[in-house]
Amino acid sequence: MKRLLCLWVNNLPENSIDALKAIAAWCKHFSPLVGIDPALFPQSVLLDITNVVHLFGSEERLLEKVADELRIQGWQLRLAAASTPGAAWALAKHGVKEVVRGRWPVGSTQYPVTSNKTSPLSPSPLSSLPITALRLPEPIVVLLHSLGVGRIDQLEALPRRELTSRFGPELLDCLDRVTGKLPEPLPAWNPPPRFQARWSAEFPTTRRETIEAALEYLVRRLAAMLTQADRGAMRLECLLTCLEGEPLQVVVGLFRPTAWANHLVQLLQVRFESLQLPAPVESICLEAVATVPLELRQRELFGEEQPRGEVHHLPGLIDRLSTRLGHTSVMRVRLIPDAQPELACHYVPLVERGMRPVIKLASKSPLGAHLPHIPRPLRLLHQPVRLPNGIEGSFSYAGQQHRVARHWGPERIETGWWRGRTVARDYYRIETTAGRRYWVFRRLPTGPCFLHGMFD
Amino acid sequence: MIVSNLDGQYRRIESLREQIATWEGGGLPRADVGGSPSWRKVSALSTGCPALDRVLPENGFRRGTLIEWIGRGEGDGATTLAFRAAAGGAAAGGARDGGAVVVLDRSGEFYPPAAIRLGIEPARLVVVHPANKPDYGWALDQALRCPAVAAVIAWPDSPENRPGKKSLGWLDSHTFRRLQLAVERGGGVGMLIRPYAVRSEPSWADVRLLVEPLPSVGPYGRSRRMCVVVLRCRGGRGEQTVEVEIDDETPALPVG
Repeated sequence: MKRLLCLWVNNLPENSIDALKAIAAWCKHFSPLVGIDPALFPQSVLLDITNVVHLFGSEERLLEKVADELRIQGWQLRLAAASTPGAAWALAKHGVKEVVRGRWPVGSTQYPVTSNKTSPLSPSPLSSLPITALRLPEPIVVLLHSLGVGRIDQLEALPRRELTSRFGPELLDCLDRVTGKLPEPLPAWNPPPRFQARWSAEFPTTRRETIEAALEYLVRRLAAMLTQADRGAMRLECLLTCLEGEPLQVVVGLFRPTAWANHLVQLLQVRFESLQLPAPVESICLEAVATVPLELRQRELFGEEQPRGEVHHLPGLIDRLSTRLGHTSVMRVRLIPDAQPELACHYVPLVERGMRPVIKLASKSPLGAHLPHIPRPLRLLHQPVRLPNGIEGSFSYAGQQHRVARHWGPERIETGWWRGRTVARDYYRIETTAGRRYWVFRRLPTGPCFLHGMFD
Repeated sequence: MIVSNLDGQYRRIESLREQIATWEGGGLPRADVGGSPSWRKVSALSTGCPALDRVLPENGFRRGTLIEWIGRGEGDGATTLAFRAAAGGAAAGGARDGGAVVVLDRSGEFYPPAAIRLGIEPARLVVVHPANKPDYGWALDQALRCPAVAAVIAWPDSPENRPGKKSLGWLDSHTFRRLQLAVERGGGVGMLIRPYAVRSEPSWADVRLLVEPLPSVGPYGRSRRMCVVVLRCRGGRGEQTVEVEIDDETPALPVG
């Protein structure tokens, strides 16, 4: 015999599936099978308590315990147990008059517990509920109300055969699902798995070797968990609790998800090389805070579980570089269609702070589109350097006199007034008598000259 | 009679050259590096300038080696030539198709649009900004060691690549040798752009080139001229000088 418990949450924040999930995850203490479905069973969490009641003594004791503990967390609940999910929900939503706030009176008969022995026609707690408890479509509810049918027992009194012809098959289906004539599954939900491993020292230590060995052990455990779930870590968080002071946190972001222990060990070691330990370490907690499903790939039959193919070497390199140098130091390039040379190119970190995996270095865009038509220097100065004597015939830069042999240009670059400071420049490429090439500009209309880059 | 005699001499010279190459350990597969990695079978990397290709043995740069570009300071065009060669290495290359180009830019003055104009696909370009000297050396080593990297472009001597500052010249012989071993593992090409002051220092590079800018000729001066001196080249024929002309105006768009 099936028994289902429904928790109807009265003070649920609007559209908050997360709060519902949190309650559901917590309810895993009581039942291995927990269900949520905001569309079918709004504002509620369902528990299959079929074979767990004896663990708590009685059904009433179980309900009391659930209600008590969730009330401490600040939730206002109505609870009901019944033999179908629909009936449990109907009773929880409509059966209990007042929202449970205070302590539930022990042993009171207020629990609207239906036994499965009650037949639909005999007076059951369901009979006196309004028809909206059946989760009927809106038009049918309106029609039934206009006919003066407001409660379930009134509906059940009507001849079944004629209900279908008048209201369509949906009405009877809804009714039968609640009474158990038609099966209705529990929308089971499982919390996402947490990948976490802990190690605590018997004696707090500052020895690097011990800590590194512990770390490697943790990574191997974590990697085994990840491999089993076929997920790859995108972000690792390692928390070191020391004897004194704040715990140290080390975060490692990855370019491509992986569950390969050796690679993760390498990345963590790179970070630990530069880590100062303020006090002996008591315990280490390693968690993969962001994971994504791993793509399927062929593994080696023997030996190391190392990804095959040379393609995987680049993500490894990017991970190592980003971990040691910082994620803003390893970047790809995005060209921007902007006339101002300084703004025509953006750097984008390859390992993003967000937890989205960056699979490709960059999207394939039509290359010619944003490419300037006129040569650009390979070296662009951070700040243009003013050339005091102009560029007529010769100019001096960094203590050296350069004589201009040729020049190409001007290439006029002007930006719109809407961008704040207007930029208006005439760019020239200059070749000196020695054959060196420079990029200079004159600020318009007849302003000073600046050196902006070198064609190195 | 005379023809066969010449033929014999030619063959003799070729076999001697092969022997030298074997002793020097480059080019041919060696037993002590774990069989023959796949990249060793791939042909050499074109420099992007036919004139320069002709004076190099194997008609280009060998993969898995370091190339030194010794320039004459700002605006000389040495970096341009290095990027042109790297672009060819990343785009073509048979089995190593799709290799990345890693630029280790410490001054932050590297301007990517120019490199993309020289034919480097943005999707394959990775720019790294190491903050200090040890990080720079470490990142360079890591990038050279990575088999997915087709070319690395680095300025190993000039952390403060600003005019007026003297080069620190920190690429010592030990580090240099380590980099050479790293690139041999990885199989890419390491382009080291170095100042003129280091031209007579010992080198672990396969090829050492000196780039001198030349004034352009012709009424419009569309093409840029440079004089490239092959100072040192393993298995090569001593110092040689070639004049290189490159078209600066047309962007090199990759095919397809």
